[in-house]
Amino acid sequence: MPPLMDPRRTMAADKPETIRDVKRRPHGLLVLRNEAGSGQGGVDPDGELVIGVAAGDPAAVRALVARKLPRILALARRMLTDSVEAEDVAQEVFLRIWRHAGSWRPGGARFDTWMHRVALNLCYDRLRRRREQPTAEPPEQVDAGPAPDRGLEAADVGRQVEKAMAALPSRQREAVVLCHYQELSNIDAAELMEISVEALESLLSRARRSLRVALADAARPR
Amino acid sequence: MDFDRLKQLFGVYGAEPNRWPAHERDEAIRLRSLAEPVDAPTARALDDLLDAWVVDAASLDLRRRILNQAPGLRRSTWRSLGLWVQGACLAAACAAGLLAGLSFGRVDYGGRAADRETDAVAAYDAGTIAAQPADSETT
Repeated sequence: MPPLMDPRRTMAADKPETIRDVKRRPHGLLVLRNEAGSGQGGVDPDGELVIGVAAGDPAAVRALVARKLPRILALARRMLTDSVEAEDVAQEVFLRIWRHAGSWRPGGARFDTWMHRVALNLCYDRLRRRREQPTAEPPEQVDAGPAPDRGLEAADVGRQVEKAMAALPSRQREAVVLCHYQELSNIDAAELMEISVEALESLLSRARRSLRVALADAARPR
Repeated sequence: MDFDRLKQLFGVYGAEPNRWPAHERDEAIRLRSLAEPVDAPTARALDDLLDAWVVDAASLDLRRRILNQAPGLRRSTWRSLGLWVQGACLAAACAAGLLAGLSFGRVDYGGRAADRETDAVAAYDAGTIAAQPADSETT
């Protein structure tokens, strides 16, 4: 069973420190330090909730779902451009959170970063399956082109952006989703993608250039 | 930081300083206040376009499914299942009582009906008996 903080590694012989091993601080709060991994340092803002989830606290469970479900669903939706699959991914991510909350250990990457990694891995599994099992006909794309005699409505713009994003190479799309939509730091995003910050910036730069071209009709500098 | 790097930040991360690298942000904001790169409006316009892609919020059904799997709320699930079982038992008991009541009613009614039928036959027989002598007299 992989440890919570690194879904790609198998659990090694050295038993990871569990949440319950974290000692209580003098002020009574369990504080999870982010001493490595994300490069942001400081207290993990989700640490206490994860502890509550591990302890089976219903309030913590509800709070974590309220806080994280929109982020995970948006990530999966934008990576997969499919609502049903995105919901499946979100549900699977939370299933893994429930299973592994007890083995969450402080000192690694932030919980949010771990959760993103799980979600991305699930998204890539599905994208890989799509490539391996091509459908007879590609999914129908709604023509989001605007009528020539009117400006783009907000929904039209959204659909155009979705189409332009879907046309990006997957790594470029991932970089934009993580940095722009999920608002992760460049260090967290690079760590998630297992690339350097310079490589991330290169992906972002190329992605934004492509998006500018694809959305040229809609782009009006202000 | 120089203006080339500031221009690069706009091209890579867009026009919103919150998306710029934390360790460069303050210096970049200071530099931008002196002179904004010519590409800044283009970067800002692309940011706005990207923000126009809004995805649907999580449905209540998805939220419910996720919560139903959660460790702290499984007890609630079992509890609600127990309530369902209790309700089903109560309904079954009511149905059994109703059936039993109907069944007894039918026996009772049947008994009364049988009594009435017996009485009717007896009366008929009595009438017949009463009529027979007259008949026999005529024959």
